[in-house]
Amino acid sequence: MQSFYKLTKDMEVKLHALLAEMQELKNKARELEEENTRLRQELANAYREKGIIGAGSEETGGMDTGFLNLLGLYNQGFHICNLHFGRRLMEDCLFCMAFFRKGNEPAVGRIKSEI
Amino acid sequence: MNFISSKEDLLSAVQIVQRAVSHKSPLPILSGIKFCAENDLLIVTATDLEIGIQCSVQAEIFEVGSVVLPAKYITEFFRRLPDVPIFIKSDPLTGNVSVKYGHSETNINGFLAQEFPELPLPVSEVKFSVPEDILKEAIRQVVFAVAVEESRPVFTGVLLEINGGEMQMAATDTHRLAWRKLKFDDSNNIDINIIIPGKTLNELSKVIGRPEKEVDITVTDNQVLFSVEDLCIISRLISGKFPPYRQVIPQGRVSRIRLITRELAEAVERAALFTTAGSSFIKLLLQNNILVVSVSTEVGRVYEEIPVYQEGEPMQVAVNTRYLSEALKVLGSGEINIEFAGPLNPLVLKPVEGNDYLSLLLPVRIREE
Repeated sequence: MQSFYKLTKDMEVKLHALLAEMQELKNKARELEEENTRLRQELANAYREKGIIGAGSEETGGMDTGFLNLLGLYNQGFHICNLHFGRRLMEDCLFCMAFFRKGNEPAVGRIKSEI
Repeated sequence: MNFISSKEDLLSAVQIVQRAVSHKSPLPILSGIKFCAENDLLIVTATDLEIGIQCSVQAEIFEVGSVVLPAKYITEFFRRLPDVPIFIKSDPLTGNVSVKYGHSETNINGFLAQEFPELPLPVSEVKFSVPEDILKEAIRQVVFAVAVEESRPVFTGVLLEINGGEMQMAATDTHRLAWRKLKFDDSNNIDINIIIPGKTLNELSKVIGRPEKEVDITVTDNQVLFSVEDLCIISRLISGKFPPYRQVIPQGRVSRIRLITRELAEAVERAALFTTAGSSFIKLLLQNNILVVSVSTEVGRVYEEIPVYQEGEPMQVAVNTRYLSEALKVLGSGEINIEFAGPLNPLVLKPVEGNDYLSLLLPVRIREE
């Protein structure tokens, strides 16, 4: 009976250790998520700043460089909408397309289409 | 707890509530269905803490009380009972239940009901009613567009917006969108904007549909309650802000076609048989009042021509077969208008009659073979 008690006690200690480890992992995951959000936000700001600085030219069909950068990012397979900015595109996104339409209708024609 | 009921009543109650039973919860009690006998009623409840379903059936009660029985066995057991009066009695100390039918008796090891979470019905000033058949149809028309993956919970729900005497429902998984407007009797000046889990609406639509009856809906800050006669569905609301979906609806169009919905739906379903996991799209080519539905994979090639009434320019797009097929199934109209705003802009699908429904579908960008 004594050994059974000891076994359960040992198990309890192990479970506590496991729980502590789980808590640590959760904290780490939260930190990473926060960092990811911050980096995504910084990237969005950087693109926005570029968009403001960049001037439209005849070569780019009147689109500023910031906008073209976003177009490039979308063509490389990343969301540019504010819902999922910087995340991998699994399929085309209605909100990214709406952003292009809103920003500049000819931009839609510059999205890589291989139909 | 001690009561008599019929197989039919017991079975219908457990079949309805078992949809809320949790299959993944670490709490064993949630894998059960609670039976509570009180005031000539047997109240049957299940919950996974996200959604709760409660159903009342008539029963002759000899002794009030409650018990929780494992859903896994009880539904199948009730289904296999003979059509005779069923006597059910539970032991309040152990939770064990004896079920007597004819000259037979079965004992089931249950749980004590005290461990089962309470499911208080939410109370709120925000209350309204919608005819069952109209709500069922509206749910069917939008809920197919909710997202399955849960990384952004707002996309797994349906936006329900009521203001200015209009009720609007919208759902999107960011690749497609469905929107429905309903007439609404705004005698209570209701103004709400909530996101209801798609799962809740799916379950609700399975148990409603009678044209002469209404669903009573009560909304609180974080819960919604749907009540119909002897049945209540309580669900948590999804917190967060639904994305500004109106901005994704194209305002202009390059071309528009009108055609018979069934003809396109059948052609798409035939073509879908030839799509493969890596190429789940079909091509739509519009020219000279003909819509060509085609697909070419290693399995084979389909080419179908559908006569349409065309306005505007010729157009070629590729679309996800499943998305198009699902959108066509719920359109609820013999004829459909499809608007094209360019090869990469969303297609807008609308029934020819009325302007209270639309769904959007984003074309697929594909490589030319």
